Amino acid sequence: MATRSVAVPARPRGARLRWGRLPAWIRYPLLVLALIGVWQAYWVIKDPSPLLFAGPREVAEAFWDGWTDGRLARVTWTTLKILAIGIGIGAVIALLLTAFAALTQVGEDLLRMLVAILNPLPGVAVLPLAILWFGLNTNALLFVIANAAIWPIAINLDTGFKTVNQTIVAVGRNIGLSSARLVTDVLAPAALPHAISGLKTAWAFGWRTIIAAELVFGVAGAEGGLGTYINNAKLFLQIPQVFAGLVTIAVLGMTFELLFGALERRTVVRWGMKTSR
Amino acid sequence: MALRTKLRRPAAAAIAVAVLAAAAVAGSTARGAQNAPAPQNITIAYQFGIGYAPLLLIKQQRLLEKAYPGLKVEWKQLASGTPITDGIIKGDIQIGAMGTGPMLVGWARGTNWKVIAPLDEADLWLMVRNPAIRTFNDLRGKRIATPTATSIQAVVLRKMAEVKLGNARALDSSLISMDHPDGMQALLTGQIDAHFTSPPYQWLELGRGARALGKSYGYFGAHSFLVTVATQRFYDEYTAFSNRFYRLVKQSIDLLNKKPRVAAAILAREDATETTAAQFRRWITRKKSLTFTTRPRGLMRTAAFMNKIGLLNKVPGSWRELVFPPVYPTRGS
Amino acid sequence: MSVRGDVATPAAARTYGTGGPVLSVDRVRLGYWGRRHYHPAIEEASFEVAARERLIVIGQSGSGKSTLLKAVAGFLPPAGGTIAVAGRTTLAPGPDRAVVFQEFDQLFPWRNVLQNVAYPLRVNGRRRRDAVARAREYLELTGLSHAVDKYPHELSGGMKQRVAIARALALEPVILLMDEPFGSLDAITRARLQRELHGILERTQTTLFFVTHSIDEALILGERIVVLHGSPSVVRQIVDVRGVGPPDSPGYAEMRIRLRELLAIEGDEDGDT
Repeated sequence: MATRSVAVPARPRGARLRWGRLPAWIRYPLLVLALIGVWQAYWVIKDPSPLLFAGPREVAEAFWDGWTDGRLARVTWTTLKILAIGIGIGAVIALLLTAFAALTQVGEDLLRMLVAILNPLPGVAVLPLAILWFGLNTNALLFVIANAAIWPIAINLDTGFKTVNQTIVAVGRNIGLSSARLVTDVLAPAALPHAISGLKTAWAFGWRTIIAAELVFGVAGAEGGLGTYINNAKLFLQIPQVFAGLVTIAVLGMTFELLFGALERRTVVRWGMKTSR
Repeated sequence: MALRTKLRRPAAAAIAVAVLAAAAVAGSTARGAQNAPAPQNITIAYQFGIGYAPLLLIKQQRLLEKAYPGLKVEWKQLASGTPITDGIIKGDIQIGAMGTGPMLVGWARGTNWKVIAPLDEADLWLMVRNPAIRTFNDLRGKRIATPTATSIQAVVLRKMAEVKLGNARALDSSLISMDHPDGMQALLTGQIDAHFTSPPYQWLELGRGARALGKSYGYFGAHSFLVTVATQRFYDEYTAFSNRFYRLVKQSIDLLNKKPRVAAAILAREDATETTAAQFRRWITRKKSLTFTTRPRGLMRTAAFMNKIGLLNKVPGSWRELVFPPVYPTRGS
Repeated sequence: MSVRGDVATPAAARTYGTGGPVLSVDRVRLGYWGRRHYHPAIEEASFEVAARERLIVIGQSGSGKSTLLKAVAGFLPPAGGTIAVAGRTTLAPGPDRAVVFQEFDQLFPWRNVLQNVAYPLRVNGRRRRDAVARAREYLELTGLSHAVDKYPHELSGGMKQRVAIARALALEPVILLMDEPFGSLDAITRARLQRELHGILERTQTTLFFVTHSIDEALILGERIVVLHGSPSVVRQIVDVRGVGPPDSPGYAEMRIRLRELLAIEGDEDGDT
């Protein structure tokens, strides 16, 4: 391999600016700090009423206190538990619906129709009905979350099953897989990228829905979840706590993004199957 | 790539300017002070219930408009104290009617408001319908509805729990917030097991098979129920108006106490739920559990208890700190 | 049970004893349903494949040869006639007729090379250690020992097809079916794989049913060639090419011309048919 000296052209102008040359792990925290700076500046300069707004320092204190005395941890765990169970239920139902759709035409029609009708419904819109049916308890919340989760998962799974590479299915049959094993050993892994995609969307919807539902739900005395925490803090005019709750939501959202990314890297990226998203 | 670099500096500058401009616009509040002896517009907010009768009489008889020709009064009936609190903080509402609970919470957190005219005292009942619930112990784990987490009912419930179960927080895990009409429906349909409410809902529920498990007078003594509040700023600017408002409330209360038939007729005239005048008269004459008065009672006791269980972080030195001057002569507590 | 030492008892003979063809196609008619019409692909075909024999089916595009393979594999019932494998008129697809498809993506992307070959063995009843050992052997046979831990998306086209071949052979099928397996490869890789396959098949003595449109491929790999012609097609002729010499021999060139005539290809001297 001979190395030849080649005239190196001058770097394009843009690259000389400092920002683009910094690594990502410096750029993002710097931006966050800058935003906090703007926040602090607003708090100090505009001096809004503490009943309407809170500065970064107060929020940080409220956040710290909330986590060290365990309250934020408990409400976060409550919310996450409901969310996880709700999404779990939704996923199972979605799986059944999609399997039915994959196997029969009437199943396919049913799925399409249900999706058209129920997917556009925002989760919280179903809450009053849920309370009527299930009473004022967690079951109503689970119902709402499940509803928010079923449709994204079902849609993605259905697409996943439909776009399974037919050659692989033929191979599966060729090597003698029974129908059941064909589904579990071939269709399921083949549809995994779509399943994960659906799960990500279901998670995003579910997360938003549970917080909103808790706000509407208004569980007062009991600890409730993160949404209740925020609502209560507002009722008692503890604005820094309200912000602390919001910060918690944001942090959790980012954490789950990272978790999903890790999951994808271990599976669909490793297998070269990542769909564009 | 070339476009990106060429436009980078001016684009970045434009974005920075836009962000600052947005922040500035967001920051400017619409709270303009009015420099007039009496306000030009006023928004008065109240909630559902017979306890607001003095206000309703002022509203129905247009007493404010008569006292101040040219004054535009907007009356808002809201489902709970929360939007009223928010409205006063933001400046959209000048006088708000709420329970003593939210009033104390706001006062302690720096809303800078005080009571401009108390409205009544009321014995608040914890209603249950299920025959299986006989004692407070039976309430553990059952669903109990109160108006909001800051309401006086929520406070009295803690007192009841402290007295009957030894722990103020014993019933906390089952508390739910519901406004009075929803709560009544939920109790009657069995969705909840207990409803801590107020007149007239507790009387309506009584008539439909519910019974009172506990009454607030038994735990707090006679105490105020509803008050009207305004900010210190409002009072300072419109002192004469505020004093006049107090007198009009007192006047309406006198009408309710001395001429209930007349008052009932006025209330029935515009009532949306089609309650009859006779029904109103029955309610306003149930003196034992609902008394219209401008004397605040039990404020200090309530504040002390709320502070004790952690719902209030500041206690007034005297009841006078909670009210405006027109109320001083009433010798409240 | 090592492959290399097993030349004396090839799979085909082991399975059902002596006598009788491994594959018998008897007056088979084939077609498939389009959206509205039935498209006949094969008007009538009859031929047999004996144990350890390598039979190639050639025909132009659209001559129904892939359809024929699918029918033999069991993916498609014949519209008429019978297809018998080892004496049984089989219906469903199965590992006794392992298929190597043309597409590269016939491997399971979520399994690595070793697992792709071992998994079908486990499905068919072998214990894990046995399956893995056998898989390794066949991967060595196809020259992939260095890549057993790789995932399919990390492999080149030629390597992927090798894995597919290893997987099919590891199942020790009664007859190996190959549907233009090298059709998507570049000419150089294709030529190499043809040679490799020839060598592998000589060692394993596997009965082969191979479909292609390339005359050269047929001549290199095959012992007998079934020429399909027409649309819908019929078996124009079955040519025995066992005696034909190497590619640079005159016998080869003659046979090539003959096959071209049979296929009725005009013009195009440099095409890969």
